[in-house]
Amino acid sequence: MKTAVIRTSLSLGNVNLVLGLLLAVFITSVTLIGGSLVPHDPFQVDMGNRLQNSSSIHWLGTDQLGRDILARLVYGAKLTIGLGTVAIVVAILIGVPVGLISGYIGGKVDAILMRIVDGILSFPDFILAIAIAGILGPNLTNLLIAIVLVRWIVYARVVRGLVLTEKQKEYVLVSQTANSSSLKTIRMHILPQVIPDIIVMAAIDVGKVILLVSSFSYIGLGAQPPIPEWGAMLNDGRSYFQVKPLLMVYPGIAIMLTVLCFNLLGDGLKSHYDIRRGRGRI
Amino acid sequence: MKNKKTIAGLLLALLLIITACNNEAGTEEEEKDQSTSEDKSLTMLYSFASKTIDPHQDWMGVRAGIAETLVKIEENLEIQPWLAESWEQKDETTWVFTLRDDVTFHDGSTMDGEAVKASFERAIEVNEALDSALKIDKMEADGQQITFKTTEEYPAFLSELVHTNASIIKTDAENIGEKPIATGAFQVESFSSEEAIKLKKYPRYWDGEANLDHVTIKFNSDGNVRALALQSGEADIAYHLPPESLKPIESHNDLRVESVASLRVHFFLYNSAKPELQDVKVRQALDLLVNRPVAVEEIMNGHATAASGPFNPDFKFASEKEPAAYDPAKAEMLLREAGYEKNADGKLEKDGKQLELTLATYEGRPELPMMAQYFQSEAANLGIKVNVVTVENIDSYLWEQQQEWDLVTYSNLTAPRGDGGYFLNVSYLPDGSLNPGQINIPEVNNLTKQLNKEADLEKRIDLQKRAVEIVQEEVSQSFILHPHIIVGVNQRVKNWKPGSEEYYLITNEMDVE
Repeated sequence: MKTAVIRTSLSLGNVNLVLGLLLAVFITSVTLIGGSLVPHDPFQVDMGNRLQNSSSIHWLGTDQLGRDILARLVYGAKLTIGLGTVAIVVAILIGVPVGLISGYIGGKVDAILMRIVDGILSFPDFILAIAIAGILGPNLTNLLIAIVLVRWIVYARVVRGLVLTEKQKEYVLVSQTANSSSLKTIRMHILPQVIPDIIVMAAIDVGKVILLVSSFSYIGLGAQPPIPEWGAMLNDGRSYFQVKPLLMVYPGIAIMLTVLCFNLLGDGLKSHYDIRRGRGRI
Repeated sequence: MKNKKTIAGLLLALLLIITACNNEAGTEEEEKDQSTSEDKSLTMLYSFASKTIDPHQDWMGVRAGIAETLVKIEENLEIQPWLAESWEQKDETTWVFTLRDDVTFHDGSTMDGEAVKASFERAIEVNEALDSALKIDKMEADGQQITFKTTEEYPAFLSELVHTNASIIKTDAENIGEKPIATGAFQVESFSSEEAIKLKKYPRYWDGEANLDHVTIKFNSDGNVRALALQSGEADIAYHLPPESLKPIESHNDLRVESVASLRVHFFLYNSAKPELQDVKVRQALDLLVNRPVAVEEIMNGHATAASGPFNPDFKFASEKEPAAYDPAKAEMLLREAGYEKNADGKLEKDGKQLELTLATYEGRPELPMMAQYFQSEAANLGIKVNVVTVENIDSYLWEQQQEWDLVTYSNLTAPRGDGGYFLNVSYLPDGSLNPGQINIPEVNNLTKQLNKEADLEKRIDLQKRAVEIVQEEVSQSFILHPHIIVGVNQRVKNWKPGSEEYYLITNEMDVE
């Protein structure tokens, strides 16, 4: 399946998608099996071995408490990417149904739901998330809640817009005349039309959310020590950036690659779907 | 089209010429400044920002050389005359101070007994903590003499007068919060809250005109920023540098690092309200997990002294006991005696309940979170789960959420005025202002109360030593180390050294080349 996608993508000049997929394969494999390849415990403090340079034992050296940086990066990958993905999935699970209902039913329901969405949208999402996480208290669960609370509205908004366009189309009308229930019409006919757009959005959004998670940990609202979340690692390394800048460079590269990967994937998928749809119409 | 290009070219050339001229003018001026050295100035970067510089409410008044107190503590941590020439204790509650007669306020008026009385009246009115620390009942002024009557027998009165908030200011001045009028070597030129104080010298200063004409004190809470500002030359003196930022400063030719033992102690404070921590064996075990030599050498880069008790070992009343050695095996034994057994996951538990502790810490002092994480890993090796929480405002957290935390990385000044009575009062008495862990040891309370009434110096030392001994046995805190005050200084700064007390930062003697 994947090779087929790559082949067609390549033939269509969709470099973004190919690069994104390759990066994704790399990151996923590091995340899933990397832990068993690195022979160090990411939490093992060794004060005699602080701030070591790269060596055959510690490939990327050790941090300010003598912990293996590579082990921490790999462990952090699971956490950072996992958190980003979970946050987006939950946001989709809330946002998409709300958007579908709002767009399809319309009227008062639509008005009420969309005013709530507008209300939340009127705040900058980062500030709002800081406020929520700040009130709930600094830990990863609360961070997740804060991110979901500010992200679901985006999906609700977009899906509602899509539904409003699709609703006008004849196939929906046909389905309604055929006496299908609303639920069935939404599920069988509208949802499949909406899904590709959601996937594209989600892919780009995961990158955004990973940045958000890391920023939060960086300012101390997310992961708490000793959890090796990438943003937290950046923050830990900050005090040493004159003595050992690599402490910040490694997690920085990790964040950059991951966000790049999801952005490429998102862009690639977008043109992929556009091309497919375009063909269908011809 | 061609025209436009020419005009653009001309404009660009003009711009270049103007900027070039500007630059030249700028450097010329600077050179002039240095060659005539008419205007000597210095910039200091300090960590804790002042919202106000009212000397009765903020420490910056005395620190910045604006205001002065009747007595001060010297390098040897003994009390010396300052604005007061001499003093005498008439009876148990009466103290008579003779003031210097050559001191003038920044507005030119003379400092006399009446002015000092007015200043103290205002100080204890606006500052409740100072009021309870001084316990002044009545005051009488007569020429250059002022008589204090304390509400009770109070031998610590003299050392409490060192308190920076007990400084002497002109009380009828306007805008004391921004431009206090006092007696120091420097007067305020301008002050912007939590940002900077600009000072200029007071030419008629009683102890000799200051060498510097201008001093700027800026605030920045980020230790790395302070270190960088020193390296870039933006600041001449940078206070409280993080130990890990020192390498580039030490190897820099124009900069030096001054490190002086402080009157402070970093410690773990245990929450006595928590059932797990009420067992002294558990506290002893946790204390044995603290590796002091590693904390001193690795976390503080050697800029600290291992601690066995609350007081700096230079004090006569400090504990002479050696700091407890790191001994996880003994800790495990003690925990076993306390009824904890390892369960299937290798975690310690008692009656089916796992030993899990919440360790609060804060980033204001960057070494504290590191000590917390280090302790966390040591505890994990033994099967104790420690959750580290980093909080923004540690004091309000400790007081308002007393049921949440089990232990905290804390740091207090223990003998800020050269006497340990302060710390014993605020940290161990049940209503002490620094006792969020609700420590309540009857023997210590009794000793503290005796101490508050004891005037004889030898007996005071003995009482303080006995109190510390009990505290050490009870392990109500694990004292880790006395951090040094680490200050980065530009080599051009002369006649200046940081003091342990951290009260007199700006002096008339300091100078620049």
